[in-house]
Amino acid sequence: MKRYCIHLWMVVWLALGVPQTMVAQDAFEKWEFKFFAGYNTGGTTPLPLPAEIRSINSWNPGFSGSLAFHVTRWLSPQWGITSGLALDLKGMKIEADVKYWNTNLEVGEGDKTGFFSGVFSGKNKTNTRNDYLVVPVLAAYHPFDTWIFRLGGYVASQQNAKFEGTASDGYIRSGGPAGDRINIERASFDFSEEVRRFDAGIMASVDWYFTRQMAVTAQLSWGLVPIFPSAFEGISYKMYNIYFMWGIAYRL
Amino acid sequence: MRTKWLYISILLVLLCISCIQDEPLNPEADILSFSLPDHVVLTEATINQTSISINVRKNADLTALIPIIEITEGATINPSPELPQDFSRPVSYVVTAADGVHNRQYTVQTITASFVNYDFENWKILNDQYAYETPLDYDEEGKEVQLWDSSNKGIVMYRPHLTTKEFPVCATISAYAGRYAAELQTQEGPGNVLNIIYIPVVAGSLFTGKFDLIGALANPLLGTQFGQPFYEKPITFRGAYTYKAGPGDYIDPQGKPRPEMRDSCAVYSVLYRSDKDLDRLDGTNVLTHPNIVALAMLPPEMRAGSEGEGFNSFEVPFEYKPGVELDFEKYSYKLAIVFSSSFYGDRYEGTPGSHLVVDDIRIITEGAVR
Repeated sequence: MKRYCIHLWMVVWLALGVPQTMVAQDAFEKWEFKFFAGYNTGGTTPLPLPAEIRSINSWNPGFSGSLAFHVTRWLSPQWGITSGLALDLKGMKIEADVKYWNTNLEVGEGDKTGFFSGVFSGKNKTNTRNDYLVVPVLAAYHPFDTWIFRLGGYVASQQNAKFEGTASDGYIRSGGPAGDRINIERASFDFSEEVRRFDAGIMASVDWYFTRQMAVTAQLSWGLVPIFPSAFEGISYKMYNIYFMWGIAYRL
Repeated sequence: MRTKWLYISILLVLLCISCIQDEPLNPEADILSFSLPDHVVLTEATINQTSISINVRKNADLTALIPIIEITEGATINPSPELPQDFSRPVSYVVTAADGVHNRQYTVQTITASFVNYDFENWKILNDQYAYETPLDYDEEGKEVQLWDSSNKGIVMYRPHLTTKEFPVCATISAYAGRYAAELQTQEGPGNVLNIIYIPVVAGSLFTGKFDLIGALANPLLGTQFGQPFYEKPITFRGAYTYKAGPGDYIDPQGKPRPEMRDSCAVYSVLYRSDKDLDRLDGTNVLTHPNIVALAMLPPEMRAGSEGEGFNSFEVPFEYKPGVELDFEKYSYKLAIVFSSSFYGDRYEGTPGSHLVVDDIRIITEGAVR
């Protein structure tokens, strides 16, 4: 799957690269092409944090890179439209203390599969990394020489998902908070298969050009589609991809 | 300038995301401990989920006792434990959690005598959430007591929606005497449970004592807590049973078929001394603990299967450890009666389909013999 998505990426890059040779030299550059690479930090997170999460003990973005290509069609010296393609790896490792965390877990295999529902109190570790192919559509604004701001939205297709973790050092009460108590030393869960194939949200970015070609770039992508479908009951709250990227851009 | 605002707004947004909310009010509502005044109590109370049983002296006046009850912090209990209650009858307490929403209803029953006859005539759903039934007994005054527990309580953790008859332990009308008998059947297990344990096979097991879920996932053998207080000297373990091992392969704890092995049932009773270090025997030590005083076990050839289609009676003497004298004044004793459709079912091994029916269980005690 990963190899396939890199191939696709190159095809799009070449396809979009073609107009580059046909850039017209006008009063302003009508077309602008930009590559950038960055590092995603953020979270696949509920918003706001639900009361079940009592404290966050550690958070680590892991290897969450971003590689992107943007094409901007400038309509005037100030305003333009940007689109492109990005490969975004969005992930984190998080350790939290949770209390009365509602869950409905699938247990067992084959036709003996059943559901165990209850509320868990204890430690939760989650390790998630979801790879997306992202297509942004942004309005570009170029107020001064060295700054370009962009605001718009994105749609993304999930290429590869990982959402797994452990529940440990606690107990679960079956059926609900007044149910029977069962101690959990360590249980693990894997919801990777459940992660939604599609994401979409708001995107904002800023480029600051410190040379004619090179810029420092920062980009916020804020998912508006919960990463799990509503039928999924493993986690009782909705989680969104909210990531901030730092990177270096190169303008052709 | 603009970037500064952008950064500030991003920062505000991130701060907003990472706000930890106020802790919700505690939704738990437990009775953590229960006791009655020392002058009436014989043994510590057994809290088995929402049923509390406590053994008391035979001729004690139970009509106006003030219990000592410890509950979850912040929860409330009704009626107030400060009010005297008539514990010669079952007494109910409702604990309401600090959140005011969740509650648990407990029933306290006092036990005055050793139970020696078990007919499995009365079965009841003890937890409305699930359909399985548990056999109940009645004392001389007709007061209901729960002495038995079963592997059903573990099954509901992953198969909560089974119907009454689908559980590995249920009542059957194929009885030896009366209307009902206890039917135990070994079934295929769920396999992997949350990567905590692997359960290829679940046996029907029914025993006096309690199935304690609290530690059951970490070590299933600790979940089965065997025995109820006993105040007489048991001589003979008697009853009727039918048993047929399942038709397929014996399955080992790793889920591998072991065609060379044959399933057998567990039918035994153990008398042991209970002390400050040993409240109840569990699956790790039920046949080996040094506190065991006497054991009555169905012999291996009878455990392998009953003869013919109908019930076979059995009568097994309690074999006492040499040199052990019972002293009911000085020590407390518990008697465990254990049935399982697969002898090693507590280790999650056996043959699916193995089928045990037991009925009309009698513990003949020394007093009764005389």
